[in-house]
Amino acid sequence: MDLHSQLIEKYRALNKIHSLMIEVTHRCPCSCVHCFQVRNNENELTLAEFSDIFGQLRDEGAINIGITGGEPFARGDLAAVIESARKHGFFLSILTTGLMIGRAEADMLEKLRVYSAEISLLGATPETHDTLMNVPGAFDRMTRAVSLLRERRINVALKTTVMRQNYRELQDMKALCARLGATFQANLTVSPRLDGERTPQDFLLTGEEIAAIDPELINGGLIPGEDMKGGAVLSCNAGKNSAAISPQGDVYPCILMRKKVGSLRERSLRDIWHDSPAPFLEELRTLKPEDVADCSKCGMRAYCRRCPGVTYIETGSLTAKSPTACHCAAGIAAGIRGRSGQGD
Amino acid sequence: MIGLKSVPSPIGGLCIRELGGAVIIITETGDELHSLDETGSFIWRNIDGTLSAGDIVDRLCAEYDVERSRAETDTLMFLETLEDKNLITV
Repeated sequence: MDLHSQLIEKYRALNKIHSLMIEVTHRCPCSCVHCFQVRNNENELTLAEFSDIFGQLRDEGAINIGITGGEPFARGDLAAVIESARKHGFFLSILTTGLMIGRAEADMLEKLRVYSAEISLLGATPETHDTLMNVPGAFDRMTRAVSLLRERRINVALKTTVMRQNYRELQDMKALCARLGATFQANLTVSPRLDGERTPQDFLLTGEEIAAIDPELINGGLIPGEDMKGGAVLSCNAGKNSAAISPQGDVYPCILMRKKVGSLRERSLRDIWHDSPAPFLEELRTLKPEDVADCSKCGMRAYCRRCPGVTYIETGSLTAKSPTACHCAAGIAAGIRGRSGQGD
Repeated sequence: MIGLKSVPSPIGGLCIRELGGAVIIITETGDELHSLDETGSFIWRNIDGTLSAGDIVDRLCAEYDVERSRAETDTLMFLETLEDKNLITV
């Protein structure tokens, strides 16, 4: 195990935050059809509050921060927020639609040494991307943003949520990424909204549609015994060495596991995470893979990308099966069987 | 050549963290990660751009049961290693 991996394991053993996502705002120019966010645009953390939080995170030992939203650039003071984080030495990535990145914004990210950008890609054509994002011209603005960032040697990953409207374009999306110098990541999981509302899942592929996809195109390749190794995630890093913070300073174990464990406007991070952790955090930290009994011995596990956060939204339980993950795993397994000539 | 009167400072842009009593240093590019042992962590915490190597040796001797000559040798060697790795300037 290399030193980085050992370090992450040590953070996990000590329940120290290594990486986290910070939602700097929920404001966003898009209305993506599958968006899981429940927007709260009130009373966002101020720059001064962020500065204090970054200091607490440095003292905690945190290393990586993903700046996300909403659309982070919807905050007029985003550069100052990022600069404040950089003063504490964090490695920063930004998760964005790319719609608001012009030359000045790209220069700012380069100057402040933002390590990488993760940008939403919802189709290989303007028609598909713009329709799913509900913003005319979004595709052209996004591809320009990618070019501006790559010219500045900022790593870019284009991330796709695979849906019924775009799954036929996956190969072209991958080729687009190659042309733009970006990496491509496609995820089959369409999460319910964070409040449990399931409309986004109307766009989830059917089993037959999933089976028709080349497994190499989704989740970086889903070949059992290769990158899947241990199979479905039954007990993840959420609440241990990873966390999330909302625009109002609420702390969560993960951006998808929307169980508030404290407010940084009321308590210190140390108190929330270490001195008086909420019962939910304690539960997460003691959860073992075998506690997820239905999944730990499941024959589909090698094909499954169960996310404990999505499972919690779907079922309110940390130990239940995820209906979405089961659905996707069955489709993937059928597709792989079919391609290897074992189909019926 | 670092001597006892040299005043070391961490270079800018490093990610410096404390974990379980040890100092972790990650270079700005993220390419190099250094995990210091107890003595190295103690010395690093005293590298602040104001204390000389000799001052750091004084503090080391006050904290640990170590002969001064040994502390001087080890501290100077350690500082030279940090300088070679471009983690400090003197």
